[in-house]
Amino acid sequence: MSRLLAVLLLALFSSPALMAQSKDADKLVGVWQPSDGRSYVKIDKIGNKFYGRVVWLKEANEEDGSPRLDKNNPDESLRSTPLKGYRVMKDLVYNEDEKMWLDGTIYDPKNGTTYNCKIELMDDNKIEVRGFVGTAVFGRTDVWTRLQKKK
Amino acid sequence: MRKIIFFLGFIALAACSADLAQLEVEKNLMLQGEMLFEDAANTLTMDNDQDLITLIEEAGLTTDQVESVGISEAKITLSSSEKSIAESLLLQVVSDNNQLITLGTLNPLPEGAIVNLKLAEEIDLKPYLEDSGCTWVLDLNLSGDADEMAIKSKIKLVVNYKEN
Repeated sequence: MSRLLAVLLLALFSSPALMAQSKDADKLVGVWQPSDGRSYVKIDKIGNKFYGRVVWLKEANEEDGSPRLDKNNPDESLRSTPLKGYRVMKDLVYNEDEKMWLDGTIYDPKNGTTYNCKIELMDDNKIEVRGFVGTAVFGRTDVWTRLQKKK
Repeated sequence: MRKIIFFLGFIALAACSADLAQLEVEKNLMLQGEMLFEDAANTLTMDNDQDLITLIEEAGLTTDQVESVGISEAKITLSSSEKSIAESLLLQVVSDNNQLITLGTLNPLPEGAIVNLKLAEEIDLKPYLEDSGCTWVLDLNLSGDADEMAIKSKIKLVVNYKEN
């Protein structure tokens, strides 16, 4: 009986905390524009992880009108994948203690390189996206802005 | 000396791989999703409904015997309305403790209702099929508008296992 009570009390007190954690984590979900303004990336959630896809590209096509492809992918068999729709950001997990999304990767189609990635929310509509190799000290940070619906 | 080392290495490799056998398993997927973006990238998903144990139990194998699980074929069936607006396909898989990986891609789509994806190299699905939260993910670029989609896929998995 006492064990049941303990479980019920735990559930009662932990669920608001879990809900708040999930709410904070889900602040990353949305459509974001990197600082160069040449693309929009939609970040959504699959399972417990966050992923970013290119949903708009300023230059979606090559000069001949064909779609721009992931021609620098290290896996030759995947080089016919169009960049529009590409998942450039993968496997980010929200860390409640650090208030950051960590342990993910970000892909640079310009050179076919995948970097480690972490994201920090600056305010509700701005995020700091850091791509790095090995330790976070060696990398580059870009500020992305959330696209908002016109009122 | 180098020749002897090479020869011994070859013998060791042959000995290790000699008792590996293959089992081919067909798996049906039904990927569903709401098409949120018109003329853009959209996503369909399916929670995995067969873990590694259920995949191999008919063959009387145990998970300890399984060395790796590859993929030899991925077919996607599209209705005529889906086909008319689908530009490209990208099939992936993810699980709680494993990264999202690409299984196959196709761009542009050829004629016909059933299309074969071009498969990625060197994939091992074993850690995904043994993990929680395994999800099949189909990304597709649309050149039109749709509300919801449910797309059938048939994949052939190749289970590499040690014979007892």
